[in-house]
Amino acid sequence: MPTPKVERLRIEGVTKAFGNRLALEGFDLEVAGGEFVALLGPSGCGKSTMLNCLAGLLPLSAGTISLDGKRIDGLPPERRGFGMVFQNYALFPHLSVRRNVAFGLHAAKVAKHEIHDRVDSALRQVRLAEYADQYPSQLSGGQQQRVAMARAIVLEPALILMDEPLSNLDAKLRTELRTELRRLHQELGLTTIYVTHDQSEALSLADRIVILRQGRSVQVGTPEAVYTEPAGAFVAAFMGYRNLLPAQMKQTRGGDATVLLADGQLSLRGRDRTDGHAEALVAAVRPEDLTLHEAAAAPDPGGDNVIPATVAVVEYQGNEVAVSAEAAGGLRLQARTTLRVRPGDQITVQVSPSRVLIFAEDS
Amino acid sequence: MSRAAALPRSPAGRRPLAARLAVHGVDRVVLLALPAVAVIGLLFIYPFLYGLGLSFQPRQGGGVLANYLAFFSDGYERSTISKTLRLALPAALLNVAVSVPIAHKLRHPLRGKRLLTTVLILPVTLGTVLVAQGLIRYFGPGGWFNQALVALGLVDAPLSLTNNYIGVFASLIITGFPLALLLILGHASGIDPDTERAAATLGAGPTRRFWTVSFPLMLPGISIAFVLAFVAAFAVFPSAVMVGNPSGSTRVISIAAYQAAFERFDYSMASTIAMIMAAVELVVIGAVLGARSRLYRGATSGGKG
Repeated sequence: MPTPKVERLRIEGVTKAFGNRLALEGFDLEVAGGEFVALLGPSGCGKSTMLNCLAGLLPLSAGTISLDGKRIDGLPPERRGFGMVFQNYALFPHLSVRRNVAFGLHAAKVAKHEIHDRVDSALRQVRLAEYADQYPSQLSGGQQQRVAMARAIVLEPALILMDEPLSNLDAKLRTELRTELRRLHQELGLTTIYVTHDQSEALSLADRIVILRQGRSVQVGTPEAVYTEPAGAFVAAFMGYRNLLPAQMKQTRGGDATVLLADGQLSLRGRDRTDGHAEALVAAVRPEDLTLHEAAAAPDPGGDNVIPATVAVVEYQGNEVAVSAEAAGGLRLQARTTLRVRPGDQITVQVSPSRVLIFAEDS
Repeated sequence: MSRAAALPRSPAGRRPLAARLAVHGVDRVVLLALPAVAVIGLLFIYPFLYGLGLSFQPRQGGGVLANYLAFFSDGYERSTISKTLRLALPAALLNVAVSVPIAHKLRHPLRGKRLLTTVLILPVTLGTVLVAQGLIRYFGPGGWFNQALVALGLVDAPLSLTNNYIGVFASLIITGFPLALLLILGHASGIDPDTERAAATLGAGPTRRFWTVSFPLMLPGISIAFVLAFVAAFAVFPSAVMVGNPSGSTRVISIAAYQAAFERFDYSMASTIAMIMAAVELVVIGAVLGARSRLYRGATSGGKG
């Protein structure tokens, strides 16, 4: 991997207010050169605001941004030398693909023959060499976004900023371009900040994920850490814990907790992730961690983490089905199984205590 | 079974009119345009062709082109073309040139944007006569502006700002600018603001961004605004009479046509002048639109987003 052009990007206490509303509140982040960092969160969490602040397109209300020790938060966007890729591509519709990619090189007053070579090589990197003379409107969405990437990488920017670059594409193109992005990052070693609301994009692309909630970062970690050890119910919801069951504490001992579900009709044992003070709790479980049994083949009903339920909705998904089942007290459980079940079937649902995380509800 | 049988049928056994028209690619709503087409035919195309025919039937005889020969051989008449162009071209150009940076700024969030737009657009509601009246009151020899200049000792005698070229030009700016701004603003607001932001992140400063991104993308709107501003200014009549010098420097072509029609009652000659007027306008419009089609005029945003 080539050596990155920067060693360290430091974001400290960045706050951005729009009127009375705080879009970002004391946001801190350090990014090492060559790293791929994803900012993940729901819409309105401040992730795009952070990216625009980094690009210089929005002024900060407070805080500092520095690159290898030099403050850059006062610089206009054109003097930061960051590449940016927009959700809606933002290509120049009146310029050919070649002129689009050459735009930044012209602005930087690079010599003519060098521009030509660098544009060619950037277009080859995004596999669009044969489209150089076309106009953006003649290209598909995926091709347009690849032009936008070529336009950014041709400048060999210190930092490349991507604002939901795959959101406007259909599912198939999205996965294709995701692989392309990862390949480009590996080949060029570009320090990348990537904004997305799609956890699978963040997990597959990033070296590190920052999860934002209401303008603050709630967890920073490797994809694996964030996925297996979410810091709270909010992150868990983002990381595929589709079952967030309201619960009350029954007892807790040595990192394990037993909670009551459905007004005390059921109990569930899991790993205690509360601070020990919370009243309202949730038990977080992934659908794929729930095991379904037909009622006849049920394990000991009094056993560990066994819940009887009735199948309510079945969605066919190829080699397995997604099941929505109803247990005592109207408790809804989302599970996946290879069993052939039908709505109305009596089943029992079992989950290993190590796969249940107990959080405070507002965590 | 034919495919058509699957479509809904009216009781008479025929498919509804809308469906039958749709087969031929006609939307019934388009029929709403028919009255407008009829009006244009009756009130524009027919009179235009009638006038064109009339212009080739000179009152004094002398062949079909006699009126045209007479107009172009008479220096006083012929000069109305250049006098009108001297007013209309700079006025249209200035209106558009001032509108472009304002429209460019008004695309972005700006404090007091609505108020500013209203103030700038409002003069479009003023009639030409009202503007001419105002100009005389304000800029005339006894008007406030000249009185103030004299009182302040800036000039010895009042400046002559009305009853000449300046007066008409000012009136064309006051009535033409809001129109040009409206047209350019309408077009500019459809341009994806991210293109300019992208240009900034690619290292282009404000000047470069304007000339390489915003201006080319605004150009289709600018050329249409220029054409309409020019046509409106070229037909100037009331202000040329009221705040101009209608027998001298601002004897515009419409005055020549008016005099032929209603002072000499030579409708044939008046039609000839009207045709010459239309021809000059067409030449300018053709030149502008021709230049525009050589430049980009496609979508104003990059993609489907």
